[in-house]
Formats: sequence, C-alpha cells, structure tokens
Amino acid sequence: MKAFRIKVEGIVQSVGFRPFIYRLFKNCSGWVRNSSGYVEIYLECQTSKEKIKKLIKTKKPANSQIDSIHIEEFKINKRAFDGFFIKTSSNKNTTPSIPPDLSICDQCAKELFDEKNRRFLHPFINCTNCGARFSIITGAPYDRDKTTMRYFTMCKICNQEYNTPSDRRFHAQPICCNECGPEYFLINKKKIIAKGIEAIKKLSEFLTKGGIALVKGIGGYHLYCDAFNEDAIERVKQIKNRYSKPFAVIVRDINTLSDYCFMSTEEQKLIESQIKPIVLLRLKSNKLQSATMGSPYLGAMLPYTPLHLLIFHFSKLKFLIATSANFTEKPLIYSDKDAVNFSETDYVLTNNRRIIRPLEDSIVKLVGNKKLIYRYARGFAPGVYSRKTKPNILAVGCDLKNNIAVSLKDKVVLSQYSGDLEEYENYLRFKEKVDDFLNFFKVKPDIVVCDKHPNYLSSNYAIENFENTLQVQHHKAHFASVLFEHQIKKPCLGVVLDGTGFGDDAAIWGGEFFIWDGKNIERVGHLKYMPFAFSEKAVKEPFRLAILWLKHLNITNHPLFDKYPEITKAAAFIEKTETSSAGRLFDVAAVLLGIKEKNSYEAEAAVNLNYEAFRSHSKEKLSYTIKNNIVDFSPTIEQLVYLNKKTNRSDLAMMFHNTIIDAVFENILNISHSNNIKNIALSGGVFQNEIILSGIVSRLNKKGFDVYFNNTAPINDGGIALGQIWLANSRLNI
Amino acid sequence: MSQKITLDHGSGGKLTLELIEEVFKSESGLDSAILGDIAFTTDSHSIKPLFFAGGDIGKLSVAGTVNDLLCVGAKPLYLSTAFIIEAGFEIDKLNRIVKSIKEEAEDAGVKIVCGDTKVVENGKCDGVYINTSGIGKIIRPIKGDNINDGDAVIVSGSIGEHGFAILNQRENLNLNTELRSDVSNLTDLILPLIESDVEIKFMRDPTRGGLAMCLNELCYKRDFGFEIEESLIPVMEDVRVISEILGIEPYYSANEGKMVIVVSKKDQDRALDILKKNPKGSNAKIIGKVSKKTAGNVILKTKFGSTRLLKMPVADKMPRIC
Ligand SMILES: [Fe+3]
Ligand SMILES: [Mg+2]
Ligand SMILES: [Zn+2]
Ligand SMILES: [Zn+2]
Repeated sequence: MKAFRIKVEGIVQSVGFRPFIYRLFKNCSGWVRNSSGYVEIYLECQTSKEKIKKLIKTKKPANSQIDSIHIEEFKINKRAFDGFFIKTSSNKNTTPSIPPDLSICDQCAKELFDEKNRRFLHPFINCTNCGARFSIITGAPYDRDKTTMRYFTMCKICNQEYNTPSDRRFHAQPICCNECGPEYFLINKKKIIAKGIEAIKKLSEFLTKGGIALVKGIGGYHLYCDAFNEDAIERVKQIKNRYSKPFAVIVRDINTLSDYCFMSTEEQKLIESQIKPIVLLRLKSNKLQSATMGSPYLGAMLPYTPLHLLIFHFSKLKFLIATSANFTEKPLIYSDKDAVNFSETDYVLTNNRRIIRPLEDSIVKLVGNKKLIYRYARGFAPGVYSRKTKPNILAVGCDLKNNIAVSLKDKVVLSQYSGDLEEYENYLRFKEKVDDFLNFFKVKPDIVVCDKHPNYLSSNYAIENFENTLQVQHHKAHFASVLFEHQIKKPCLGVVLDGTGFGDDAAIWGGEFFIWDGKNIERVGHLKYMPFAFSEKAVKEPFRLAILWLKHLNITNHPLFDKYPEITKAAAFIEKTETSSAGRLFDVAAVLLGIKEKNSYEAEAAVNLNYEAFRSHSKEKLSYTIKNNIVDFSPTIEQLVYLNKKTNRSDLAMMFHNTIIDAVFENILNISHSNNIKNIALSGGVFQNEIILSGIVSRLNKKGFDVYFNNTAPINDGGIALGQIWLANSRLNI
Repeated sequence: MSQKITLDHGSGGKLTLELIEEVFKSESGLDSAILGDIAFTTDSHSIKPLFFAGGDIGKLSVAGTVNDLLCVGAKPLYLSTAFIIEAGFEIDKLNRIVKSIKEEAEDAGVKIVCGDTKVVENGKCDGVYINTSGIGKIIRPIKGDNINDGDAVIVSGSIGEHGFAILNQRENLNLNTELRSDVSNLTDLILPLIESDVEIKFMRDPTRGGLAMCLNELCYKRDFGFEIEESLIPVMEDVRVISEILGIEPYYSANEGKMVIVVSKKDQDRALDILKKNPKGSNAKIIGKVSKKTAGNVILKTKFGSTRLLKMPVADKMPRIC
C-alpha cells in the first residue's frame, strides 16, 4: 500500500487549509498539521503523486496561495492510522507565514443577517475564509493563543465548531459569537453610553443625523461621517487640518457605487476582492465633491467588516467618509486609550479586541488590467514573494513612504506602510515595525540594506543599529524592484521617473535611464540637469523651482517674479545643486500653467496637472531635444511660458504629457536599439500618472517591447524595499 | 567615511563629528579641556565676509573662545591670538580687526598674553584666519555627565541670527533686513550663573549647525534625548523671514552669542531670573526638557500638535522629500 509525505508551502495557514485537506482526504487515513511556515500531510492512500498535486492545486481555498508542493512517496505494509485527522501544530523553527487581514466573506455576511443564525448581528463574525489576521496576531505559528482573541474564552458551541473538521470554522482562530466574543462600546465624553448591537445602532442613527465619530476598525481608528453632509465633512476637514486631499469613502454596495462611478469588470472584481482596498474610480457626476475635493476620482471601498455592514443595515446612508483618524502627518490612532482621549468628536465607537499592528487602508488604481498600488497596507501586507536569497536581508526602504522587507531563505516579505518618518511617531512605528518583522519571522539579517541618502532617517537608523549595512542608490532600487517583482533574467532597460533621490554624483536624481546587462546596473541617460535650491521648501512650494528654472533659461519677464520678489531675488544668489528629477518638472509645469503654486500634500501640483490634462484630447506635443541619451525639456518649459494664456490650459497640460511620453519613448528607442534590449522596466512615483504610464506602455507595446512595471507592490517609494533586497542579494555595481 | 575632506566635514554637522571620531580618534566631548582648576581651549576662525553686520572676524575670534571656556564652568582669563594673513591684505583692515579684538577682550575680561603672525602667499588663504587659545579658571566643572530625565533646556536668547546675517551678506541676498550677527562674549551673562548655586548640567554655545546640532551632539548615542517645543524657541522676525525665503530652518543657523543651558528642573526658574538680569539674556527661554523616552533623538513639538525629529544636519541642501 502507498503512503505519502506532503509539504505544501505558500499562504497555507489561517485560510482554512487544514479543513480543506481534511475534507479532501477524509476517506483515507493519515493526518495534516501546520508546521511553522508550511502545511505537512501524511497520507495513506491508493492514489498517485500527480493526482494529489492536481487535487490540492485545483481545489485550494480561495485565500490560499500555493508556492510549492513537495510529495514523497513510499510503500507501507499496513496502515498506521484508522482515519484521517488534524494534528496540533508543530512548533519547528522555520519561517512562519501569515496572511493579511481579509474582508468578511459572503457566507458570514449572509449569517450576519439571518435571524435564525446564532451569530445574527454579531459584529465580530468570522470564519476560516475571512476576518482579522495580521492585525491581531502576536506570534507564529498562527493559533488562537497567539492572537488577541486569546482573552475571550470560547463558549461551548464555538468550541465545538472550532474542533469539528468539517465545519467552516474549524480552527478559525478568531472564532466567536454573541455569547463569547468581544463587544463594541459607544463612548461619549469618556463614558460608555451603549454596548453591543445597541452601540452600533446608536452610532448609525448619529451618523445619519450628520454626526462625526471615531470608529475602531481592523487596523486602527477611522473618522466616519455621511459623505453627503457638508457640515460634517467641514468638521472632519478641520479636525484633520486637511482641505484639499480627497477623503476615501465606504460605499453601501456595488450598485450604489456604479450609480456614481465608472467601473470596469476588472475594477469591480478588485473592489469586491477580499483585500478590499480603496479603489480609485472615475466619477460620473460631481455629487460627491465635498468628499473628493474636486478630484475626478472617488476613492471607494466596499464594507469589509461586519461592523460596516451593520452600520449600513441600521441606516439609509449611501456613502460614509472613512478617513484614518490622525492629525495631518501623524500616524493612525490604533490604541484604545488614544481613541478615548480623542476629544474632537462627540462619539467614539470602540471594542475590546486589541489591535497589535496598525494598518491603514490600501489604495489601488487599475491601469488597463494592472494594479497600480499607491499604498500597500491592510489586505496586502504582509505580502509574500517566493524568492531565494543567499543572505538573510533586511531592507529598511525609504523615508517618505515606508515599507520594509525581509528576505528569509526562500521568501521575501513586504511590510505595511508607514508615513513620513520625520514625524517622530511614524519613526517610532518604523522602528517597531523593524523589530516586529525580525521577531515575527525569526530572522537575523546578515545584511541590512538602506538608501544612499545621507539624510534619510531610515538609513541612519540602519547604519547606527546594524553591523553589516549596504547603501544603495534610490532609483537603482526603483529599477531593481521591477526586476525583482517580474523575476526578469534577461538584460533590461530601466526607466525611473520619480520625485527626488540622492544620486551617485551627489546631484538630485529623478529622471533616469539604466541598463542592467545581467551583471551591472549602469546609468545610461537621464533628464538634463536643472538647478535646485531652497531645500525641501522647493518641493513643498514648487513656484520656487519655477522661478529658479525661468532664471536659468534666461527668461527675463514673468508674473511669478513680481508675485514673489524675495524668492526671485534670492534665486539669483542662493547656492544651487542640480537635479534630473521628473517629478520636479511636473511641478514646474503645473506652476507655469497656473494650476498650483504650493503643495498642501505630496505631489498635489503634479496631480492637478494630470487632472487638467484629462479634460483635453489634444494629440499635439511641445519641443524637446535629446543628445547623448540626455533629454532636455528646456524648450518645453519655454513653450509653456510662451503659450500660456494663448492656448487652452487643459490642452497645454495634455500637450505637456504628450511631450514627456514622446521624449521618454524616443530615448528608450535610442538606448534599446544601440544595446539590443527588448525588456523595459518602468518605476517611480511619476508613473502613478495614468496618462504617462499607459502612454509609454502602449507606445512600447506597439513596437514589440516587453514592458514591466510594479503591480504587486507600489510603483512609488513603497516598493523600494523589494529593489533594495534584489540589489543586496546580487551586490552588483551598487 | 568618504575618502576626501569636503566642506561638509567642516560644517559642524554629522560629518564633522565622524571626522573627529574616526581620524582624530577623540571624542568631540566638551568645548574646553578641564585640567584640574584650569580650563583650556582653542579655536580657529575663518569667515566670509571678514566684516559683517554686527561684528568682524576679530570680535568673533575672541567671543568664540571665551564662550567655550564659560561652557565648562570657567572664568575666562587669558587668550593667545595667532594670525595667518594673505599677502596683499590691507593693513588698514588688519588694524580694524586688531582693534575689535582688543575691545572684545576688554569686554570679556580677558587678557591677551601672547600671539603669532604668519603671512602666506596670495591665494593661499582667504584674507585672514585667526586662531585663539584661551585659559580660564574653573569655578565649578560642568561636564554634562549628570543629565537626567526632566532637566530643563534653556536658550539664552533668540536663535539663528549670526548664520542668516552672514548668509544675507555673503550671498548678496540684499534682503531688506536689519539683521545683525549676535556675535558677543557671554562673560557677564554666564559668569553669574556659574557663580550661583543653580545646578547646571551642561552648557554649549550653539555655533555651527545651530541649535539642532548642539542638542543632537549632546544626546548622540546617549540614553537621553530632548523634547523641544517649537513655539517656545525665541526667533526674531527677520530671522523668520529669511528662514522662510531660503527654506532653511533657524535651528540650523549658527549663533555666536548664545548659550544652550541644561539645568535641573528645580532650578529652571532661578536660572532664568539670573539670565534675565543681563540685557543679553532678556530673551532667555525654557524651550523644552531632557527626555529618556526619546533617547538619542531631538524631537520638536510643532505648533500644529505634531512631533517631528530635529535631525542632525548632514548635507542640508539635499531635500529628503521624494
Ligand atoms: Fe522614489
Ligand atoms: Mg568652539
Ligand atoms: Zn467568513
Ligand atoms: Zn461563542
């Protein structure tokens, strides 16, 4: 008789994998168990390796991801077991894997509103297919006593379900019910005024009446209010000191959303997926203007917790503003103490299940059918890539958008996002995140890789706290993140259009062309250097750079000179450095077209320039020159000045976009031709601009190039850690 | 460490600190050496322009060394001056510098007891460089070795004037401003404090790298840090304006007549009273406190309620923003 030892790796824990295996083989004998990082099966059965593999692969649970199945076959004389059963976890010292938080599944959602179900209206309903994971786990392997659910003793019936292999809640670690689960509390002036379902009902009524409340979700607290209530939104703006950056919303259901937004089948699939990210969708009307603050996009997500469903159930609300509860730049509030002490809202809805890791909502946009990830957090993190690396590596990422990554022997894990590290509390969270990842994944890094920037707090942290560190150039890391993601093995041309990063020549880079020939990464082209001064103020107030560049191009007369006489005066004498940044070029263009002179949030001017271009269908372009692979947009800038007010602003904005596409494309053609390269990698924050990205991609595709860009990790600095890992692992010309 | 000396190595920022640690193999430590009852220090001065609003290199060379002696709790007594002069330098200008040295020395209560003069070829130095060494008598040694959680941080006056005044003049910014360097010896301001029984934990004149560098250097790799309230830091309006225009925060701008003083919390008000008796200390302020929680870091609580790291200056022209 045959027996098999099977090892399944990937995302195979806390996704209902063992019950699935149990159901699959319950007529055979043997066992299944979680080991740290994989699922181990011993099976006595008259079948074949191939059949087992196929069965597991085709029928695997929806949220699992199988990286490898290893099967060993041998002969036995007699069965060692009577039936098939689930063994308790073994605690071997290998790499654990933990799936991200999952939105409520359809079955649980149905039960939630089924009067006959014992979890009728239970705000913490979950099963092996859904619910909180990463946000409530304290350690590995994933078991109830390693989650913050350990403080809630299962009632008899829950316990029974938990131990019944055929049950959907078999080993659902956060299992609970109205009898035994955590509870919601509505708090007003630090006093509990309602509990349980009453608390949620009251909150719903309150929100309907135009109230704003602080509400505890999966990874932290949100500010909620009716997205149609102008007064409420005004108050949220005041609390957050945020007047121009759009708010995201939770929408009642997909039908309501399709009344307000355009949605492709792919977009609908993404928004309905269990990741439940904020998806940026083009608005049909301008009915939600107070929430979107003039953006042509709505950042929307569907209800992802039972609580969300309950709020919509108890109210007639269509859209809820759900913005992370923080002051501008400060990190998300996730501790209950901070929430209760938050005095800006009338009500706080909290619960007694502790959050271990703060996680913000992820933000995604689809370009074609590919994901452009703006923020990588809840639902994505921790993201696992099966990659073998020689050393164990910790990559600390970048300062402004921080996602770190660790590489274990056979996988690389990308962390959740934290905001600008200069904000002290973000810096503290960054440090906690590093400790957490090293502890959680039980990894001692052989090498710690960071950005080359001398002023990056993340880099200084790495250098001061670890022995063996490696500093890598920002844009090479952007490029490498694409090589990593798509496992590109052939020579590749990398185009990085970005904000700013510290260059190898100490200039400020940001519009770079690289070649990776399989051994080295070499910078083969870039945007022509333009002057840079005024430090970070130049980025926050792009009119300063505009003045600097106008002077540099010997343009003697411009309204900006009169508007900002001191800056104009200072621009002549101030000490300057050089920049090839593409992001700054967009900034300056936005200023010259009178779109935005100061940014109240990152890249606001560039974003608004992009929106302006949406209004035009112009196919025209402006002039530029290319010499020795160096692209000079000086003529473009001169034309923007000259044509401004003579040509329609939207058309000019579009023409500017066309120019960038054209120039970058032409330079790619030149470089790829002389180096005989067919693979193109695109990365960097500027590619968040849909017109630029799809423009360049489609032109390249038409010419038969294979084009790759980041679509499982952020294309902005959030994806840099993956590139850092790649560079550290190859240690090539960096 | 990079293989060649750059201007940033002399900026008083992190690279200077590394240079001192790695090449000179010495801890940057105190502003003056404490040798029993004697304090001893030395300082070289180069500045462009040599004559600036509020002072000149002569005044600067005396004030700098005198203030360094005061930092360790000494009464400044004797100074040496050594000149390196570029051939072709006008005698008239030299006279002005020497006069200003004498006046400042008199004001600071120190005697100039020896000196030296070297002339180098035209182009080998920028006008004139002055080195001064100083000796003081320790009244009570202040070593910064007993800094505790909650100790108060005081600045003796508004910050950033020297750096911005120089910048304004050197870069020919010609901004409409009356801004003058604050260069000045602080003998009559600080000596009464040293002679009092206020428990002084540490003193430093926040010169190159400004307040940000001064505080960062003090807590670098130590088990305490600082929590500073932005709204409490005294900054003159003209400094604010220039800071706004150039995009450089006043915390990174040099001072040549100010003192950062850490005192035990119980004495903070008395220390302030003593400082305020002197006109040079009329703007003295408690700006924050020592904090174990933020070990190794200086954090700034902004007016908007956020807290951010006040970094050690490295290459300040380089924006961190992406
Ligand atoms: Fe970047
Ligand atoms: Mg000195
Ligand atoms: Zn479920
Ligand atoms: Zn129960």
